[in-house]
Amino acid sequence: MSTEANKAVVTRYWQELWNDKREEVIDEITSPDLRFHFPPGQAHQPATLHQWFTTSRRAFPNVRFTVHDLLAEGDKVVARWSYEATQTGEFLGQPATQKQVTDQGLNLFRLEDGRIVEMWMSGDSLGLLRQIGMLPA
Amino acid sequence: MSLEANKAVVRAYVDAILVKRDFSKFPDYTAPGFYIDRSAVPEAIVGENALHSQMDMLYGAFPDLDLKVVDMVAEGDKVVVRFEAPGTHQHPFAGIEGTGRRATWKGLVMYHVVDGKLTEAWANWDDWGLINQLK
Repeated sequence: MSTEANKAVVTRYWQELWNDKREEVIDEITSPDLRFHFPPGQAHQPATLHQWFTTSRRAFPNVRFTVHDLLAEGDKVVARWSYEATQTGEFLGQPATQKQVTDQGLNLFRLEDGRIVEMWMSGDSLGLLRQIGMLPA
Repeated sequence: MSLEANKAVVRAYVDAILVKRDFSKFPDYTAPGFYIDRSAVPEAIVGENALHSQMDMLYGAFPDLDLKVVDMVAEGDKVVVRFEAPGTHQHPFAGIEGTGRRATWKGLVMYHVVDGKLTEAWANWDDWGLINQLK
């Protein structure tokens, strides 16, 4: 696959999955053995993307991502993103706070045959937990 | 500048500034006004002195910090680095006295390279994970 084709797959990840909330896209754009590489401090480390999506739908149903940069080389694609959301449901044991939250980060994806097979995440869990009051600001 | 040239600038910056902390070379790799947007910190790190004090604080707490570039992805005028930095927590960090524990700080950083110099960076370092490894 070309780098442009790989970028198109990653664009579907942000737009169709996370912004349009189409869960079925997971099975179209990711490998069944998708490997996550969470930083040790990531607050939420779900086993599967389906679990992650379900948690997000419950806790932050209006989450909206903006992709600020998308670049690709070889079999890798990197997105620089930010999101805005409201915590209207339970998250990691914290009941809904109705708080507006925002975060920014970078994701590095590796693709094979048009599917995402590996993903390295970096967000600001410290900032997120402070915004919803689970940690002192 | 080619992708390889941009990657070489980023590698040279990492080695000279972040690893060896030879800040006399800071102007060789960064443009005036270079800043690092770090979401975990409300203010961006702007300029040489701010970065220097951050690095001194980090290496002060983890004197054997081994900051390594484990992956690079580049396109156009952007270079992304995936870092892993294992080290031993020997002195206070984030209010935690030295524990002697081994911990690894991980990060993804995007650099914008213009005419051979870094103009801005977006850095996501796993500070919360590093702090948790010391508890």
